[in-house]
Amino acid sequence: MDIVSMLEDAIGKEKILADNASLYSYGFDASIHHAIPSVVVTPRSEEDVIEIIKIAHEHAIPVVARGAGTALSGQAVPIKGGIILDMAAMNKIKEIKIENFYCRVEPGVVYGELNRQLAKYGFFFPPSPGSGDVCTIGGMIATNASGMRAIKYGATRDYVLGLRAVFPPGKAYALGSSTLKNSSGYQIERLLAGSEGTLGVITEATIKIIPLPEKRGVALASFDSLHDAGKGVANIIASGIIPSALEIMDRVCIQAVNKSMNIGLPDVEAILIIEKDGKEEEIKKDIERIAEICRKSNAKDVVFTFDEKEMANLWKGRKGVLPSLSRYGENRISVSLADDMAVPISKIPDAVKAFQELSRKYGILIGTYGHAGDGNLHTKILIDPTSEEEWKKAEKLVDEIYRVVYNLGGIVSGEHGIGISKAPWMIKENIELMEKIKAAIDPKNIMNPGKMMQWKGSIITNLRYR
Amino acid sequence: MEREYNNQFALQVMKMLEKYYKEILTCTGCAFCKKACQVYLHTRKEKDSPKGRIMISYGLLTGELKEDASIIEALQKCALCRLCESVCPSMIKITDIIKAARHDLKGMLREHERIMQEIEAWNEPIKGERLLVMNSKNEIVDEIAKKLHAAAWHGGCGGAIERIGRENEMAGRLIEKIKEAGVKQVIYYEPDCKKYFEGFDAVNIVDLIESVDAGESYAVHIPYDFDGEFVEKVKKLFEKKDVEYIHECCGGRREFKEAFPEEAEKMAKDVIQKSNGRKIITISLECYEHLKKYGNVIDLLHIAKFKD
Repeated sequence: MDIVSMLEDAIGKEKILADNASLYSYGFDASIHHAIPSVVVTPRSEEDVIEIIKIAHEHAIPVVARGAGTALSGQAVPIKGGIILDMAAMNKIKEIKIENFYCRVEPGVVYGELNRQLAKYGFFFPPSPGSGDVCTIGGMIATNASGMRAIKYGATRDYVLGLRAVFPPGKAYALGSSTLKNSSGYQIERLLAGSEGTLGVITEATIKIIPLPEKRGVALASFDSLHDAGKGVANIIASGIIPSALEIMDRVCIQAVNKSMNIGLPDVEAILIIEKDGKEEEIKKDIERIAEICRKSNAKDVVFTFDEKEMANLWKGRKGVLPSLSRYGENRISVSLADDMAVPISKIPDAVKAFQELSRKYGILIGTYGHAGDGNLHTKILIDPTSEEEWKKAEKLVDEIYRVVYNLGGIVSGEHGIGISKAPWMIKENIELMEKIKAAIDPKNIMNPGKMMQWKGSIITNLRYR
Repeated sequence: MEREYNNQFALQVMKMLEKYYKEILTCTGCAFCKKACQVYLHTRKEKDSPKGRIMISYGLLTGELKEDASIIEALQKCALCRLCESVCPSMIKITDIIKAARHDLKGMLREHERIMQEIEAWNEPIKGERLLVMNSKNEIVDEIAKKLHAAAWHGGCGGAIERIGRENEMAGRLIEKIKEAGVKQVIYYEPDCKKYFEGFDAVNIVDLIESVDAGESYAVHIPYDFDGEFVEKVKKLFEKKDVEYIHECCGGRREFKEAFPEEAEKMAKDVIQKSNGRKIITISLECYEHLKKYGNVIDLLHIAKFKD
């Protein structure tokens, strides 16, 4: 019996997609990679997932679970073929327990929708990925996603209290708890955060939630030098103020956003967007202090606002950097390579300066932006994706970027995850233990095989561009 | 079971889609478009998302995908409402890509084949100097024509054929008939019809409306794909009235609702729900005919007072 028939018999025909349009379209996420699965399954329950994993384990068929397909490093691309598990239909918010500071959700719940529901109670789930309007909680946990507010609130892993997950050979486990504290053995639920589907499939998550801040304020500081902007970041952090977001954008990103979004950002070398949340009187005082620190760090101009619309407009500009860069070059588009390294906060000016030098050395345009306040930088590389030569050059550039990052004490990924595109630059010492854990939990290596520590070779592989 | 389709309509292979090669490459695959797509939000299938349709178009263009029933269905399962474009940060011309892909498809859904035959077979006499061109057999068309001292043409101008992705020969034939009949002025409703009447004295019916009799509280359904100038004119008619606007697609385009009735029904019910119990005013008789099956709806033409 073929795999499609087996799955149809096990969980029902209506949950199986095997037509060419489905197979092809499920072969993409938001990375540079593409591969076509053998079949797509849309489970509606944990029981469905158990049946699927049983079949996959028995017949040694790869399984790649995915949420909205917004991963930037190829985590959701089935490079070894097999089954795509689209978790989007498991999208129920099962309970919101304000008095116990948690909610319990299925993995396909969309982040933005969860926060809309939580807002009714004056609560929220803070990690704020740029793709928050579409990405799913399961995907966020699998990649340990975060975003602009990680500087104050941390990443997804910090909010995972408990999980239900299905592991090979097809058994579901309840991991962690619904308590805020847990010192009761290995916290396997937190191991799954960032595991990119290489261990098991998340079928339910219990997530810590916290009260929404009373108010927010935002300062926009313009700099004639990227280095001064980096100094501004270090000086804000050193002042003891903890912003709820501290973002940096270089000239390339500013121009890209202004060109495509008409936001009207200042035409300078770099800007910082600094957000402070909390009690109204407190944030007004802190935003003014932040503005003063920026001026002392050679900011050319600092403006600040507490108006919701103006703040939303600024954040719209910041969130639009990634896609806007795609419109920036006439013949070049932005590709997701070396795009979320993390360095110690004080090393940001050195990192940004080094990236600019490498940009000149290779003659490749790089846009640098990101969550400067927590040391997580994004670089976007603009190339002609149809040129083999440019890909080769880009790979060398990426290698040099990561060497710089390591020399500054940084790591390969702060929030997007490893997938394929960042695999060669993982810390070697971690790999050995990761492989042992993987082999113990998934002996037939069916769970998202070939990703992270298992990817060997060039990252310019399975390209979606032809 | 594989959906039935007719593949005898051979056209040039991917000739139109080739023009959008760079545009497709520019799509980062961020998937922000999913949140705006009413079809995707109902089916939750990747091929039913704007990103899915772009990627499928790319597969056809590069030859990695070969046309089959699933490809045709995926590309046709879009109401072309353009709401996805309003949220795309890369400003990808998503509907232009889909229309180009449709144009290059060899095959056609059975439902679309039937719609095309019906549209192309439409004929009625045209008499008089003033002609009201409408895509509806609803009695309101004749009532309005009488008020405007115009003859009525109920067969539309073939927009559905163009949206399906075929050459709209019907529009050409209509123009010939209009010329033969000595029509001096054409009155049309949907803004998309304007392009067919270049060189004519063509007037949008909204320009002939003096006021609307909308005393109570209403929700006005304005499809997102309608051009800005037309929308502004409509909004002006409702100035100082207690109305709210719903820009979501109701799935009422004929070629969409007949090929995908299940999705079209869900989309219509969504629009009804968004009206929060208010009576809905449509600005398209296609939307009206579709939405009235699910809720309390009238069309702008029902409450319009025309200038003398």
